[in-house]
Amino acid sequence: MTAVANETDVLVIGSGPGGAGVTLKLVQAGYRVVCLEQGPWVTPSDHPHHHREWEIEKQRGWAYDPNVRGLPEDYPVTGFTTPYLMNNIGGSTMHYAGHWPRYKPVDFRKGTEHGLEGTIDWPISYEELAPYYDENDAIYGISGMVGDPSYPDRTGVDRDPPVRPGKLGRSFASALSSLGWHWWPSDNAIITRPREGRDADIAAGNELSGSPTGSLSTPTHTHWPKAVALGADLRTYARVEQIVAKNGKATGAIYLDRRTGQRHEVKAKIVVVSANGIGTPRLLLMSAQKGHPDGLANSNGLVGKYLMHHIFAFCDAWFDEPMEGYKGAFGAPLYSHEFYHTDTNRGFVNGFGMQVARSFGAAFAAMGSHTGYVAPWGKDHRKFFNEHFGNHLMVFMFGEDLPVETNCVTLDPDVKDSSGLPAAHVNWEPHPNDIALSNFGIDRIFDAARALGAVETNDTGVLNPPPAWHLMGTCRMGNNPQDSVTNKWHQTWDVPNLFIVDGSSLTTGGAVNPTSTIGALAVRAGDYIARRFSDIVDQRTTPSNESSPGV
Amino acid sequence: MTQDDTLAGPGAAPALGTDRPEQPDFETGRPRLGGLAVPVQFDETETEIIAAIADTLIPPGDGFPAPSEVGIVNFFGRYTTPSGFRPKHYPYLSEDRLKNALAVLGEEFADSDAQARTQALKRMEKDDEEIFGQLRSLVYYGYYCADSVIAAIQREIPAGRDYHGPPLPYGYLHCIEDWDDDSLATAGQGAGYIRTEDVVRVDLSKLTWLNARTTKEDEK
Repeated sequence: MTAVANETDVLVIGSGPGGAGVTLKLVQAGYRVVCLEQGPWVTPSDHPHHHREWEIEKQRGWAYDPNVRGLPEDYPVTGFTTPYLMNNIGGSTMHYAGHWPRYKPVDFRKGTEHGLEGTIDWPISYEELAPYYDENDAIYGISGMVGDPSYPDRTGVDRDPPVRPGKLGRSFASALSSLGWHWWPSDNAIITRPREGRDADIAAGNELSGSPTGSLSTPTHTHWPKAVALGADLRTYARVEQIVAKNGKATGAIYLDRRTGQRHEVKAKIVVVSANGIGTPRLLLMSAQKGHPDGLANSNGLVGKYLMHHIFAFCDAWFDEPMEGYKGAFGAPLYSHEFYHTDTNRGFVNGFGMQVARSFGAAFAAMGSHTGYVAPWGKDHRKFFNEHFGNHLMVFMFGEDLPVETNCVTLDPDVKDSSGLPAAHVNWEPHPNDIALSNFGIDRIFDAARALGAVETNDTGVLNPPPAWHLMGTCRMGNNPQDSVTNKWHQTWDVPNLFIVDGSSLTTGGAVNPTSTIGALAVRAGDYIARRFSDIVDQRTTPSNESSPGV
Repeated sequence: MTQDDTLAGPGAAPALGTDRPEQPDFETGRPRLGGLAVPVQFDETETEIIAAIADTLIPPGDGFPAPSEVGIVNFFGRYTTPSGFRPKHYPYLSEDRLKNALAVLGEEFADSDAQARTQALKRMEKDDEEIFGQLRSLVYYGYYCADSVIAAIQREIPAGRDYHGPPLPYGYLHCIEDWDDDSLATAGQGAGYIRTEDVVRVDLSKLTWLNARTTKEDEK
């Protein structure tokens, strides 16, 4: 039974980069916004960074996988998968590394380049998104260096100096240098100068458990304090069970207050779903109702399909000299895009990025670093540990996986969350192109490790399931109602006042971390809704990309 | 609703026992940082066996203390799920399961020499991989977070001289190398990008997997 009803201009579901970016833009333009978030605020004392037990805590309340973490705000994700997502204010940025690369121009034209499996061109270009990248970067606060010739000019936004590389970063850069391969200091959503009450990075690391000092740029620090001050109605513990539609338009959503069990309805003129690449299709599929028997915005059956994660492999390497990987921000200090672009002479399309990563702490070294190379117990333990701890670096590659229709998110008919709502089910299998790409990448990483003088190496092979940090493509924007779920302004083809703005929206995945692109899209979408609010509210059908009013 | 219905997944797991005053809020579903506020208690024999297990897995020496000297038993107590509750979080080890494993090893395990203890643990590793893995995890995580072990790492391992355990409050800004002109000299070498207007169709005839698939379909 609905206990409370209230109204707003725009209802946003989810408080991560998508929802936060749209909300901030809208409240700055004077609109009333309610944002529903099923999780809580994460406060500085919730992070493990000051605790001596910080490493075991990474396996418990700070585990990346909600199925492992099992917090009250989490929902199960079944299938052969390791979904890395969080449900709290700021969404999954509360445990990301802050890697902040942009897509490249070619990433928006993969349909033209090869068009394999479900690959289509984006309905927008890099050039159209570039100013929003700048605006979004300025909101978050980033560090890095301009001038990388593997990108168009990126001087539209100021950056803090890059995070310090340490021995690890400098060493890997020298290896890439000796091979004549491209490399560049990374852009990271980690501030190295203080701003807005946030401390600068002090090379402490452990960003994968968030940042209690605010040096890691997340919407918790960068968006919500401002948005709430401007009137955003941010409701925590608010678990949405259904988006409501009537006469072809979204009218709002019904949610459960997880603290009281009470059911509420929020009515809105426009609804924006930003619940991540798994949560958003789950919610749309849960919202099957009269007129939408297969789920909301799913008349073409594409909601949940074309799930992309990136194809991953981790490679540990050990040296006979210190690398001190426990020092430094866990935003990678550098990346290589030497093999980013398609070269079909390799036997596959797409490419990959190579990033050098830190090593965490002593227990992590004993427990096998990134590739499960566990220290032996007994008499050999001390020698092994002493030779491996601090002498380690990890390089990982992740490549662009093809969008495949059968890689998808559906509802699990048998498993429920703590509110009785269906779990998400993931099916994702690597495509032969992804596997060929990844194997090539592993070989290139070891070329670099050998060039640097590695005395021992270990790798994961092609990771399946992949570490699913990146949840992309499941409600993708496209060119027409046959190839996608939304138009180029994030409006669902079926329901004109229903927008999807998160990793689901990404048409293709590129070979870069997606958060900066999700953020840029959110700024763009928020700007569009703010400028065209009345038009959108009046629309009875979703306009084509060609007939949409622009900004 | 059966109990199985509610065991579906995160957040759904109910308490097997009722809330108890000595473990307040245990079943909120959010594991407490630092483990249990009131650790699981072990009797004298159990304490000696845990200490012996830990000292066998990580023998002291070369400047490193024994696990039994750095509070490993207390760590076990904080990260073991108390009897009556379902172990929902890593390392998923219940008090009953742990104490049963300790009983199987028996008092004689603690009294035996290093060689005999090693043999007993090898048997456990072979016969019950799960419990062995849980014990090893507790020993490794517990040992390597101890202050005196961190001090030994600083003292004994050249690469560990600056390691201080928890990332905060100190960080490593005072002792980490930065970029300089020399190290940046080759940044950006050999790179370019494809402009939007220059993206063209690539030659797909060279794709190994696509050719294999086409051949397979032709054979059908």
